Amino acid sequence: MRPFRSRTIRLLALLGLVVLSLRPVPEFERVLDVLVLPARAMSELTAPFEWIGRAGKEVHAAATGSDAEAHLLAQDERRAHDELERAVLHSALPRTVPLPVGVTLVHAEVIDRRDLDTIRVRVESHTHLVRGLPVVAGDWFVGTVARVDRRRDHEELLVQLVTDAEARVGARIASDQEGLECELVVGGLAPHAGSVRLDVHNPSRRTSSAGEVFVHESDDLALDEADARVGLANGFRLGTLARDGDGEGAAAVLGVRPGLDYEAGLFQVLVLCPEDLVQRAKAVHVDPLDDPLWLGARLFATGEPSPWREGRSLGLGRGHGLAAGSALALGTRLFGRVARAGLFSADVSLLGDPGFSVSALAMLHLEGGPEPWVLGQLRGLGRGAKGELYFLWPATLPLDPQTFVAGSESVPATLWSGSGQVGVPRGLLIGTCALPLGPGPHLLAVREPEGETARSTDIRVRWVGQRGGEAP
Amino acid sequence: MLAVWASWLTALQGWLAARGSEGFPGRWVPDLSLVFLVACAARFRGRDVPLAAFLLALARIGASVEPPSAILAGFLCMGLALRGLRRAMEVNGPFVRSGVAAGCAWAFATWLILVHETRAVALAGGQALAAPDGVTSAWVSAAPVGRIALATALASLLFGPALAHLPGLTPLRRRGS
Repeated sequence: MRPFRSRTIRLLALLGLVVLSLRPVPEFERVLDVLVLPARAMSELTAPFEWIGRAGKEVHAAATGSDAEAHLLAQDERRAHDELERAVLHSALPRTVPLPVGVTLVHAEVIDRRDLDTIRVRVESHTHLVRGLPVVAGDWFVGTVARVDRRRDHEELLVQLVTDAEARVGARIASDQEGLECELVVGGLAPHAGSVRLDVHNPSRRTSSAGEVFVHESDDLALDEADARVGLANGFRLGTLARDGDGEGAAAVLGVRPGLDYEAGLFQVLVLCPEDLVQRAKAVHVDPLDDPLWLGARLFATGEPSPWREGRSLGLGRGHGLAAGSALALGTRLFGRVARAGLFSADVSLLGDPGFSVSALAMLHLEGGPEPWVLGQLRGLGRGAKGELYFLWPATLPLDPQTFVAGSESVPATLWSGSGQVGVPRGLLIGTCALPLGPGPHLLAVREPEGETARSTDIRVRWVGQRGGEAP
Repeated sequence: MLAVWASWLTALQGWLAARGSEGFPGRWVPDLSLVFLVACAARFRGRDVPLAAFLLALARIGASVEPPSAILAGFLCMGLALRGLRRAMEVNGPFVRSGVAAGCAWAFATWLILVHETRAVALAGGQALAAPDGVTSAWVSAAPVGRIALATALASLLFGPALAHLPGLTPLRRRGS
C-alpha cells in the first residue's frame, strides 16, 4: 500500500509541475529559483568554454587590427544615436499649433505604463508641476497630469490619457462636412471593434460626422482649478471625427480617429504649464546612454542549449535591482532584455529569441533627411536562416504610401528602442530594415549592425530597482 | 560526477547551438543531455534513473533560459518514461537506444516550445507567435524539432556507450548490473 501511495504522490507532484510550467505562479517560480541557485553556480564549472571563445575572438581582433575599426564604428553609432535623440526631442514640439503667451513647455520622458490608460513620465528637474496640467506630443493632445511624485533629483508624473473611461475634454470642430461648427466632449474609447476611436459625448450638432477635432476647453465650465488648466491645450489636435460602420448590419459608431498610438507610441511628451505657476524648467536633458542607471553585467559562461532560443544567464538579479524587462546594452546596441529575474541571477532573452518584444522607433532615411517614426511594440519571431531577425510590426500608425516615396513599397530605416517600457531606455540600436508602407501587420526582416563596437565583457544592464526608488 | 559531466555536456551543447547563426552545426545540434540520460538509463539501476534525470535537469537549468519548472518537469517525465521502458524492452542495443533518444529529444523540444509559446502568448494578451498570412513563420522554422531528434539519434548511436563509461560513473553502472 505504501509504495503505491508514494508513487501516486510523486506522480501528482510531477503533474503539478507540468501545470505550473504552463501556467506559472510567480511565488512558486521565486521559490524554485532560490532552490536551483546551486545549479547556476555549477554552470560556472564550464567557464573554459567561454575562455576558448573569447581567446579566439581576441586572436582574430589582433590579426585584423579591428580595434581601431571598432572604435570608429562605435563613434558612428554614437553619432546616429545623438541624431536620433535630437530628432525625437524636436518631434515632441508642436509644429502647427501656436503656443499661447505665458505658457511654457516641459519635456518629459515616458518611462512606464500603469495600465493602458495611464502612463508614468519623468521630468529631469524640479519644476513644481501640478495636477491638471495638459500633456501633449507634437500637435496632439495626450491627457492630463493626474499625480505628481517628487523624487530626489527629478519628478515623476502620472498622466491620465484621454482614452481613460473617466477622461473628458472639451473639443471643437471648426468646420464639419457641412462647413458648420460643432462643439463636443471627447474622452474614453468608443465601442468600435478592431480599431481605436475616442468616444464622443454631447455633440452640439448630432449630424456632424467629419472634421478635424481640436481641444477647446472653456474656463466658464471648469469644475475646479485643475480642470481649468486643461484649457492651456486649446488648439491641440485630438483627431478626425468619423462615423464608422462596425461590421455587417451593425449601427455606425461616431468617434474620433486619433493621430497617436496611445498604447505603444508615446515616448517623449510635453507638459504645458503657465510660466507664473511653475518654477521655470531648466533645459536639462540626460542622455539615457550616459545616465547612472546602468550596471556592469557578467554573463554566465554557458550559452543557451536549445537551438531555437537565443538567451544567456546573467550574474545579477532582483537583489541587484534588476527586474523582468531590464535592457542589456553593448555600447549603443540593444543586446537583450531580462526575461526572468531571480534573486541573484537572471535569464536574458536576446534579440533573436522568439517572443522577444521591444517598444521601437524608426529613423526613416528619406531624401529630405532622416525623420523619426514611432513603430510601437515589435514582437520577435526568431532568426531566419541568413541570420536576419524577424519582427512582427502591428503598424498601428502605418506609413502612408502617399506621403512617402511614390511608387516604392518600403522605406529604408534604422530601428532603435523606444521609451515607455520599464528598464528600456530610448535610443539603443536594434538594426536596419526596409519598412513596408501601408496598413499592417507587417513582417520585418531586420539586419543587425555589422562589426563589433565593444567587447562582450562590456555589457551593461539597466537598473530598475524598487518602483519609485532612487538610483544607485 | 554525474552532475559535473552533465554540466560539461550542456555547455558543449550550448557552445554548438551558439554557432547556429553561423550555419552547421547550430541547427543540427543534438540534445547531449538526453543522449547522456538514455545512455545512463540503459545501464543504471532502475531507481537511479529518475535521480540521474533530476541531476541532468539541474545542469540544464544552470545554463538555460527556459523556465526551471519546465526543464524539471520534462526531465523527470523522461526519467520515469525511460524507467518504465527499461522494464518492457532492452534499451541498450544501438538502434533501439538511438530511436529512444530521438523520441526523447523530439518530446522534450516540443514540450519546451509549447511552454515558451504558452507563456509568450499569455504575456502578449492572447496574441499568438504567428507571422502575418502568407508568410512562413520564422518561429516555426526556427524550431527544428525534427533535426534535433535526428542529430540526437546519431549522437546516441555514436557516443552513447562512451558517455555511459565516463570516469566517475562506475559505481552507478555497477549497481545497475
